[in-house]
Amino acid sequence: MESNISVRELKILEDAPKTKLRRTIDRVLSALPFVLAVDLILIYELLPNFKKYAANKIAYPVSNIYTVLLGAVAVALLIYFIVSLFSARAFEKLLFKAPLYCVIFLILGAYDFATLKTGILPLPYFPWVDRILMAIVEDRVILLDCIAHSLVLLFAGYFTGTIAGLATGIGAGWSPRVRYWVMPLMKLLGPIPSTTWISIILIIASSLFGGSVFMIALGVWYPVAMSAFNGVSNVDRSNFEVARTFGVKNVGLVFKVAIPAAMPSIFNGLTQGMSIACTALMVAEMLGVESGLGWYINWQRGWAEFAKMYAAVIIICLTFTAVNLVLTFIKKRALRWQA
Amino acid sequence: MGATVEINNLSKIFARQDTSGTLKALDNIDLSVREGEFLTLLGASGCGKSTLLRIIAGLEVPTVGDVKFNGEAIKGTDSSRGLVFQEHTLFPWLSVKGNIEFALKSTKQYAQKKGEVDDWISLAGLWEFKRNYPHQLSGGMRQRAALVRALSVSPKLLLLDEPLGALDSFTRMNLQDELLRLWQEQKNTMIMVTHDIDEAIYLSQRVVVMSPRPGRIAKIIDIPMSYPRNRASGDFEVLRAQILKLMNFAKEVQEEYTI
Ligand SMILES: Nc1ncnc2c1ncn2[C@@H]1O[C@H](COP(=O)(O)OP(=O)(O)OP(=O)(O)O)[C@@H](O)[C@H]1O
Ligand SMILES: [Mg+2]
Repeated sequence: MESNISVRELKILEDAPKTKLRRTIDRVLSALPFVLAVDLILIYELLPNFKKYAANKIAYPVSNIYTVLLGAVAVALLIYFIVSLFSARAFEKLLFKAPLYCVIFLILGAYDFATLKTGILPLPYFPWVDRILMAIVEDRVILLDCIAHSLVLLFAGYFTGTIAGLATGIGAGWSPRVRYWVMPLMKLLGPIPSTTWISIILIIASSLFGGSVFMIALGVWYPVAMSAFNGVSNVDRSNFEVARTFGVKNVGLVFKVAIPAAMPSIFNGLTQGMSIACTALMVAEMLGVESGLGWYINWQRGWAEFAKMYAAVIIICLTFTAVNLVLTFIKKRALRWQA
Repeated sequence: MGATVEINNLSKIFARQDTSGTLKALDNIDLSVREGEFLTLLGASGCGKSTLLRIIAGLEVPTVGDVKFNGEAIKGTDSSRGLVFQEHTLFPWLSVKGNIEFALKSTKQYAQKKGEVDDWISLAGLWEFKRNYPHQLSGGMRQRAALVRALSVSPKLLLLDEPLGALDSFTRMNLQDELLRLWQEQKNTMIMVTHDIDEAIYLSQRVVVMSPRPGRIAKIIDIPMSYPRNRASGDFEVLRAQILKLMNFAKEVQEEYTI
């Protein structure tokens, strides 16, 4: 029966009550990320820079990009804090994240202090955050282009590999005859990291793009095929029997029963495949393909542009995180039915 | 629109997993089920009731003998022979509603019957849970959902393997009446396994009492009462005593075997 107690009230009812002191500490803690973000701005803007940097503004430029970014973060945190005063749910979430945010800000502050402010960590190996941000802004057009190229290559390979993996894995899981031919292939190719093939592909592939797609696809193929195979062969037999009593046959059993039932396992393979695809993408771009984020890093390394290399690393991190977030979201939606 | 079932000289032998031997689950079963009949199977655990239903459904093949459905030998499953499994086997990846829709779509009746889906859900008392997935339901709720899923496609023959086993007696009696109503409405043939003697007498026109090891038909008892039946009537009482005695006897036979 639908209960009229909300999830939140349920938690309050069932948890031990908090003391007054504890509640005050929690409130202060939830405000701390905002305070630290403001501190960070103050350190960056007001504390004098390392003498050598301050003396030569042309060789060591500083901008207010970092201030703007931190300002935006601080405003967001302030809004979050204000909302949390009224919404218990927001408060709980903020409280949960607060220690993590605080540590991140402390590390950023320490890094700024050690680089821009004192020069303890020297250039060119340790550019300060603003310098990296400036690199991103300066090269934004080319970076966006690199992101686009990387994503195209990544997904071309990922989808090719996924489709091949699903076809072979589901086929092998379903039909003993397909299994007979596919299994040896999987056993043989499976343990070889797909990046092993790069040198061969660089030589024989008529197009570098095509070759890289093939290499990424090969890497994705194995975990997807394996997980689809395991998923399909482990489907509870009773599911097929029920479907059969409703007249479902052969191909229908594969698509209406085997595949949906194997989805949890298949998604494990898809996640694994994505991390392999990202690795293979970087290898392909660093060794052959003349575009994309991997190529950009390599290119900047040639010029010893550390700020730009770090900039690319950050962009790569953000891009792959975004891709994985999307994948996780799809997975959660598709597997809602799981306990 | 009912259907007939002819079982001739049927025996089923299973290969045993534990030893390399075999096990006789059904021995020389002869039974003919009339069109539109409501038949119940009673018998101790392990006497082959589920096996018999699975053979009629086409999920299992007879070792000896044959089973005819409407005069034709049974070959594999068909949507005209529905089966409610003993373990309420809903598809875990589909909601209650999705499970019923699966049945209707698979039997190509969805276009014509999609308006009935909600009625079936209500009949099972699962209105508030229609979007829930099986793991979010209680055992009895899953059983009711599986029952209405099988009913929704109105098969000519419905095989029910302890479909009301996990329910409290009140819900159970309610659903017994619903089953009777649907049977009278759709005029299909029902073969139902139950462990409850009262349920067998209340619902069926004939009760098949089976004895175990190997599974045999001990006796077939006619229930000549008209519907709706009164559980407190004298006739009911007499039949109950008769079947109870038969089942005890069937058990004794089994014990003699085992000693
Ligand atoms: N697939 C199988 N492989 C081997 N033995 C089986 C198989 N299915 C059933 N049996 C055996 O056949 C016999 C009859 O089983 P069945 O499930 O038909 O009994 P039942 O009358 O439905 O019992 P219950 O009332 O407990 O459900 C049992 O001894 C069982 O061990
Ligand atoms: Mg059984």
